[in-house]
Amino acid sequence: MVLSAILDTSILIAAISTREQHHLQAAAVLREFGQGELTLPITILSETMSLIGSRHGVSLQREVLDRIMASGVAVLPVGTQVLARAREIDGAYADAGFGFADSTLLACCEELRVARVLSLDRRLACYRPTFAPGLEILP
Amino acid sequence: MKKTMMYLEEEMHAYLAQEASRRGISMAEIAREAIAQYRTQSAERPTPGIAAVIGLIDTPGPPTNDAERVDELLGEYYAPSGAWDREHGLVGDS
Repeated sequence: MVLSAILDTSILIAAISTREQHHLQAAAVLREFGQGELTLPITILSETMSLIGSRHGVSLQREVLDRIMASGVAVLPVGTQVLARAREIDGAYADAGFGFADSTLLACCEELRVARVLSLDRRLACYRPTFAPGLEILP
Repeated sequence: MKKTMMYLEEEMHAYLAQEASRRGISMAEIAREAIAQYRTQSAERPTPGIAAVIGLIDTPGPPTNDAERVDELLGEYYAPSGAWDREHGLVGDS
């Protein structure tokens, strides 16, 4: 059975650095889903690249990008329709404080009808998708 | 079969000619063998997968929690007079 999931910035950051508090859990879940259908919204890739660039420099940022591009993970463009959906989600869940990147991630869940997110951000679990009873947030 | 033409470096061409002569076959036959071998090796080479990013940053130091502070860290970095401004010469180092 092919496992489908959407990747969040937090899971990538935790997996990439061995010093991260949740490195082992993040690494384990990426290995588990390694051969599955993983999707990375372009907004999440951008956020991840920004954080790595700001914390570790451009050289490492390039290395991470090269590995993601070679990984087989599908990088999902975010067009006007998804942005409009993200804006709706951001407004409807204002109290959760998702912000731009997380709202686009949730809009991508809707777009692809994928109810599984690899993330350390438990706030995402409060989102109620239109196509499933709830989101599964792993690990 | 389809006919095609390719340009080779002189040294590569010389090797191909020498090898064809030694084995008593055509240069094209060796090229076909090499392409078939390349194709097999490519198919057998697994896609590295997203696990290839695991542990890419493996520097000693105290534990970090950047993964759960993404918004906060980016907010600090891009704040007025923050690191981004300094790196781009928008404010002086103080």
